[in-house]
Amino acid sequence: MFITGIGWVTSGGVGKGNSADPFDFKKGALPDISGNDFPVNPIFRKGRLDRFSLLGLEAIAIALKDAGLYEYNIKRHIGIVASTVFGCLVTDLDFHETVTPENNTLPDPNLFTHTLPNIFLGYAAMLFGLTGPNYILYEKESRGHGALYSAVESIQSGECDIMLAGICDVEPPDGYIYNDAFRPGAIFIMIENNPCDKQNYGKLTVDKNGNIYLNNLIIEDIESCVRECIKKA
Amino acid sequence: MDRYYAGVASCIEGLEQGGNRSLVYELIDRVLENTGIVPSDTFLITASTKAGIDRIVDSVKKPPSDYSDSFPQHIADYICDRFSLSGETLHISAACASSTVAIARGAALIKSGRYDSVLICCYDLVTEFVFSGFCSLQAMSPAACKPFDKNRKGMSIGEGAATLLLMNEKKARELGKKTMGIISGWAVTNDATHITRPDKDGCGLALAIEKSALMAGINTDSISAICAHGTGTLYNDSMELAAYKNVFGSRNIPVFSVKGAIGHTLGAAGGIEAAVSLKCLMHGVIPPTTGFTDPDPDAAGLVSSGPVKTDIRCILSTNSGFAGVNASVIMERG
Repeated sequence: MFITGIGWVTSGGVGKGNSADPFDFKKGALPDISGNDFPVNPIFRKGRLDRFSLLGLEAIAIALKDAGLYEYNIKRHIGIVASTVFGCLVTDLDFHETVTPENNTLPDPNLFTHTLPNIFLGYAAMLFGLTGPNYILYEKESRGHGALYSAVESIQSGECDIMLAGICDVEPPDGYIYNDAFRPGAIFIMIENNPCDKQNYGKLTVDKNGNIYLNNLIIEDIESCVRECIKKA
Repeated sequence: MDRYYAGVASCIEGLEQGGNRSLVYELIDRVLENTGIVPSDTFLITASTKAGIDRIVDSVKKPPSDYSDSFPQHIADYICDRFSLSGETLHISAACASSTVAIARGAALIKSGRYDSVLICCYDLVTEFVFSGFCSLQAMSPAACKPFDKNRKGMSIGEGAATLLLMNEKKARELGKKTMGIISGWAVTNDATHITRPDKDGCGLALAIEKSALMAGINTDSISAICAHGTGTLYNDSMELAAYKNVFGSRNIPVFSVKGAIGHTLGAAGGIEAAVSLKCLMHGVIPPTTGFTDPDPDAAGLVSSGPVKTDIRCILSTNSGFAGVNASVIMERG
């Protein structure tokens, strides 16, 4: 299987693999996300999205473009696995502020919908016609090894031939950082089982111990995977 | 408002807030007490929609540093400590399909040869956060839910937890474990149509069922019964019946839902329903669908208000959730 697309939104900027965009995954505030690149959909209202969903969706859209899979006519069996540290915690707290049973009023239903971290995967599926497996993995650091491994495993077990694997986290609320290594951002890579003669960033393999290799070099996380891909490109 | 929410949510008796940690620990303790011995080289997969949200939202009023143990990663650490596991874990969140996805990932890990055993632990609480959220979506039934009934008016939420210990055949034999069933196929798909409303044709769920059967190497004719998601909402139940018709045609395959009895346990639903399905395989009985009294025309002949004794060799369990996710597992008699 091969990596055929890369997209990222980090505090270092927005970019895709096949470009001169500098890749920097560091601490700091994320850039504003316009969402102007999202395709038109009659039931998709960008203004209703929380920031976590916007961030993940933007990075997925860029990775799809980089892999030449942005445009489509019929739905494709492409899956998405995303690792996160905090998920939609910010949205949880925003929603909770609207829960005021003493006032006998109902809280915000739109915010409630966005208190599930997998919602942005649903938006991506809806906008880009992706019918494959999709779920969120929580991890202690923003590494994405679990997402990368699970995506590879889904391909190996015959569940799906094309998978997006990535990480997604917005800045947590004040006081919530429990790991100094935490960095906000979204990075997604496209993995294809059989891309034929399509341009790619390298070959991914996995051993029985769960180690992942890119062109025979061991890959610790999504960040090192992207750095290796860009170096090759 | 107390935790019993005017009788329209199914809360576990005696589970009350105490101490400085999330109530979810008390819920998990109850299920771990009955889990038995877990080999120390077992991989842990947990599944939940909101983990320890009851404590996390308290941080609006108090310093958040006290609440990190309510995050799913730390709850997984607690379970690892209880069983002296190596600490390798995954926590899956996929709305109401979370624990079915967890079972699928666990089975895939064993199939890959990386692990001989995987412990699935799924859990979710009834909280004011979740209860008021579903009320705001007007998804709640004013009384106990009535899955697949003509007069269904919405869902009832419940809380619960389940553990399932998955092993390859060699490991189970070594440890002398009794096999309750074999997970032979699984699939996860997305409708790719809407965020909160299921695809009315049930195409995403039908695709998951067909892919599960393909992986199991069986024809869908071999499936003897279905443990449905069956939430009691108008849209979900119609979507499921459309999917079953799509896959099984006019065959009167027995379908049941446990949610009229225990409520919708959200991220724990798939795990609990897989456990019930295994019991169906072992005992050859399909449980009644509580609340089902006046059949939806499409459910007539499929769903029953009483228990049904039948020879079950292969059972399908499915769940669907927000964001368009569908998951299914096929279990066969061991």
